[in-house]
Amino acid sequence: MTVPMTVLERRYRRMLVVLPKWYRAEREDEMVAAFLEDVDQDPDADVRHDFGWPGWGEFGSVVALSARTRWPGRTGSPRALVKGEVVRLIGLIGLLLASASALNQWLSRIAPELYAIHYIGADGYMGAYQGPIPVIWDWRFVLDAFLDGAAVLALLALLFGAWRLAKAGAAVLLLTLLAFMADDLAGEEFVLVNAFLFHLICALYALCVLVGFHSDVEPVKPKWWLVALVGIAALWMSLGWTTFLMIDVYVLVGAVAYVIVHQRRLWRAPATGLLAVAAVCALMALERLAWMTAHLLYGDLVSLAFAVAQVAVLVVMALWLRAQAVKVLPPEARSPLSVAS
Amino acid sequence: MYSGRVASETMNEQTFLVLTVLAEETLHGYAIVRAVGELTEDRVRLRVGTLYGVLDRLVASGLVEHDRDEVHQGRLRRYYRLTNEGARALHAEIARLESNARAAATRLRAWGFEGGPA
Repeated sequence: MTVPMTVLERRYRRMLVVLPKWYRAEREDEMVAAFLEDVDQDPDADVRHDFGWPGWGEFGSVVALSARTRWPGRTGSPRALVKGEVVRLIGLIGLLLASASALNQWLSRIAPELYAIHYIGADGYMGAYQGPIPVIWDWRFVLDAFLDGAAVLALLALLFGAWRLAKAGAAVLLLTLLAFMADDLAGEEFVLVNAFLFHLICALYALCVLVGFHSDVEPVKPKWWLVALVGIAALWMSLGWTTFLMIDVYVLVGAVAYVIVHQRRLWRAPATGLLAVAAVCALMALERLAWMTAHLLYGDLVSLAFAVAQVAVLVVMALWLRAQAVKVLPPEARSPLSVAS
Repeated sequence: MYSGRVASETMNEQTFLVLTVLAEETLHGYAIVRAVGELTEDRVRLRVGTLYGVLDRLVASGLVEHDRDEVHQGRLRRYYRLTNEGARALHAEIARLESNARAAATRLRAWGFEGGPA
């Protein structure tokens, strides 16, 4: 005999939509049964069935389960494990970029003479150094400093294996970026549209950290040389922002170097690395695309040509890296769970 | 940077409790939630999403397996049972916890504390 569906059951089933389709096909009915049997023990069960909501605690546990099943660390099909690894790598690369940007900001205040050769202004144009950067104590400046600190904290926490702290840092990053994005949308200046896109991409990186790292993933064992290496990489990139060699150039040089190594069969990167770098290239191309329209608007044809070339190479790289990764991806399993076997 | 290897088996409290209640009998989802609550006097209250995260890991690592399906009052009850490997893992964890507890008790006595819990 089929029990008629109550309001609570309908709401709980709607909540389970956050889980992957294959997971729901396997687990939905037993999860619903377990939840409803628990509710049945409540003295107010009738009221809860007619008017109740499963609650934020249940919702949180289902969202966490969704992240663990979509981007697993050890439970899942080989293809799902690759997806999890890619999301974590994208998050790590994003944190590295954000930390480099933070170092850049701090260095510009601590050692402004480093910026004596070339300085990239807030408008994206390079020019001679004009003296100390004025400190403006508006809320955006304070939030920006907060953003930088959270990015460095999250990266260090991940490198030291403290993923819960890293997730807290990523959550702070995400909330701060959302505040920026809301403000960007309110602005009328064209530069704010670009800023919105930039903040959106940063928010995606933070989201990758939030959903990719969980209790199913092995924590990184702290290694000082690794932290030092990442620190040097971030410092190098941050200094790069003070010269003509912007971050995209490093990505391009690295990608082209890999194409040569790949074609000569010297080394083949794993599918996870290829897909993560492909995604980062695509995101960078998207960001550059917004600047391209700004150059077009201001009639700066040299910068426009440079930006077009950057976007084109980044898109080609992203597509090529993805194509190489697809060749070595493990096959998709019907269902990563084997519960009903 | 990130090693990406599969997590080494470190048993958290929720996993330990689920294995413990399954050591007594085969149980379905809600029965596991209830049994864990009774075992811990409601100190640990498993959410359904949390329970299935634990069960997924245990099934994937072969410590627990599907036993049978039943329909009770129109609702699906899927039963799980402990495997031999699961029993061995639970036994190893008990030994580890006992060893830790013995070491703690010995040091407390050496420190001069003889009383039990308040």
